[in-house]
Amino acid sequence: MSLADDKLLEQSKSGDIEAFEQLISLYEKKVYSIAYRFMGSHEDASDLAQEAMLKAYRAIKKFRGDASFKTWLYHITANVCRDELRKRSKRRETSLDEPLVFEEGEVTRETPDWTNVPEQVYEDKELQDYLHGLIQALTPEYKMVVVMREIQGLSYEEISQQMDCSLGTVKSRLSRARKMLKDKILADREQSNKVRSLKR
Amino acid sequence: MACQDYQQLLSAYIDDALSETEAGQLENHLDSCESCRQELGDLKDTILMLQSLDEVEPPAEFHQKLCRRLETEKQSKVLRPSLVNRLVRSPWLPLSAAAALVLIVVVSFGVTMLFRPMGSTQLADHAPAEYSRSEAKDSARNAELPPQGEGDDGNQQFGIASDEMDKSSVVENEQFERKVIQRAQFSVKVDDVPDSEQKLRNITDSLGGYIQSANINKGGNERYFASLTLRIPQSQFDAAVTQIKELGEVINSSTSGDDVTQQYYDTEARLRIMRQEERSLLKLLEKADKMEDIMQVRRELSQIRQNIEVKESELKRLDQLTSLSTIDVSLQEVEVQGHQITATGISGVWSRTMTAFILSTNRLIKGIGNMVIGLGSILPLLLLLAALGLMVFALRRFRAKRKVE
Ligand SMILES: [Zn+2]
Repeated sequence: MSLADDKLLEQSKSGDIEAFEQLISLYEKKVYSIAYRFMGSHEDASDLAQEAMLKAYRAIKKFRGDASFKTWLYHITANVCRDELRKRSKRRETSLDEPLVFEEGEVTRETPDWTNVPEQVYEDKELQDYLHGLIQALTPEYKMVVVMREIQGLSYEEISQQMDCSLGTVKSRLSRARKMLKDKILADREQSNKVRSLKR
Repeated sequence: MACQDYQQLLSAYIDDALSETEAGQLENHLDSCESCRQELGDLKDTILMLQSLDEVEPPAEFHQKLCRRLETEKQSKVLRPSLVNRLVRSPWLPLSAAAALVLIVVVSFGVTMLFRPMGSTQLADHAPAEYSRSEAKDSARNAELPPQGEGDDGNQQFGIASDEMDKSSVVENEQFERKVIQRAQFSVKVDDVPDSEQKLRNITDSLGGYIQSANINKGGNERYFASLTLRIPQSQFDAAVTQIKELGEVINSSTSGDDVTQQYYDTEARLRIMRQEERSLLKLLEKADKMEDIMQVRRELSQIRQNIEVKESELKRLDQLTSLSTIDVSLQEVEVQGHQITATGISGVWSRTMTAFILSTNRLIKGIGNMVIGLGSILPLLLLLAALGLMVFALRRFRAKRKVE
């Protein structure tokens, strides 16, 4: 954080709303991205990213600077998304229309049908959408671990604090989620190779 | 350990989150196991792919919308009259809390000790005391209102407490008139109902109120009874109550005050915010040139206007309810005891003498009763004072003793 940012932070703390707007504009994109990976849709991402920044604004006086402002802001974002995801999964479980109860240890909900995995996997926008779809197919608790680890780059300890679960749980959830993603990617790749060879 | 067990360790191994022994064992196995090495490679690829996900560009209107929400947030913070906050910060809080406590003790003692069936006048006399008790309860309830802030994520690590709302920016010194929906109900025994009804109308007129409804009827026993609903300006409520009590013997009364101050100013603040949003939408509409944008703004505009209407009518209703208090009065004609006892001749004289005697005796008993009740209601206070006196006395003696030693 530069000196200019520090100044903006101080001004924000004293209630200067323009300073705050300027300050968060530096992190807006990242906050939005985190929310998007958590929530899946642009609509939800917009709502929750804004919610997170409003929360940050309300709490800014209490920000003590133990962590960088950036880290603090991303944590709030993750918290807001976590709460929303949990709320939704609860609603889903109690909903009568969807009497589906996840089996113990089941990692995914419905998996997207991607028989056409792009060849140029490392640069395509298609790949990005494909991976995003894979993450969204995870059940909420697994999805949160993956986003916190791979997108936010949090440590296991930080994740366990945010998820309010043990280190062991973080470890095993992350391991299973990664394995599922890997298996799915491999399977899809094989499938699309088959499709391609058939087309030829 | 089987390959499966080793493969479960791979994820943590990649993150360097295994203990040294575990990592050593795994590495030994990897040296000799091709399929586990393959698995490790695939996992690493997957993780790399996930980590390579780009940041996502927020939609165009994102920043603008955010700024608008922030403005709204700031507005609501400034406008919200935080009564709780004012109360809590007031240096008088401990004092008034103590006073309220004493009041509650005294009043509740007094009321419990009151010998209810003894006479209807006592009931009437104590009505104001009960009223003030309910008021004390009211203010206690206000003080317990949760803070306005939203609950938060329990992220203690970064010190986010649950009441983020910064209340210090609340405009100080702004006067907030208390908004109370005041209601009262009286049943009064009077000598002459039509006469009292006229008096009631005069009282209402003189206090600037009006009669909302009035019914006067003659019962089977040739006695009149009447019920009236008066609307009296809030400020004249006490005066009205006093004058109504003077009409005759109050046999039943109740008063209630529903404090809607918080609700009132909240509604008002929200209304102001919405009007402001309406204005900014109108400005936006002027600037918009794309059909799509115009439609969008229009939609938002009609939504906000609907909301404004709802809040406006809510405020109007509250205004009406709080500016005028409602008092229901029912008037009954007294059964004049003298008539029933009156007899002719010598026996009549005798019975009249007896009646006078009984009446004066009754009055005497009543007087004594009142004294007892009076004593009863200040008894707790006396006890309290005595206890305090004792403590001071004991303390002094203790100090004196210590000095001597
Ligand atoms: Zn192996």
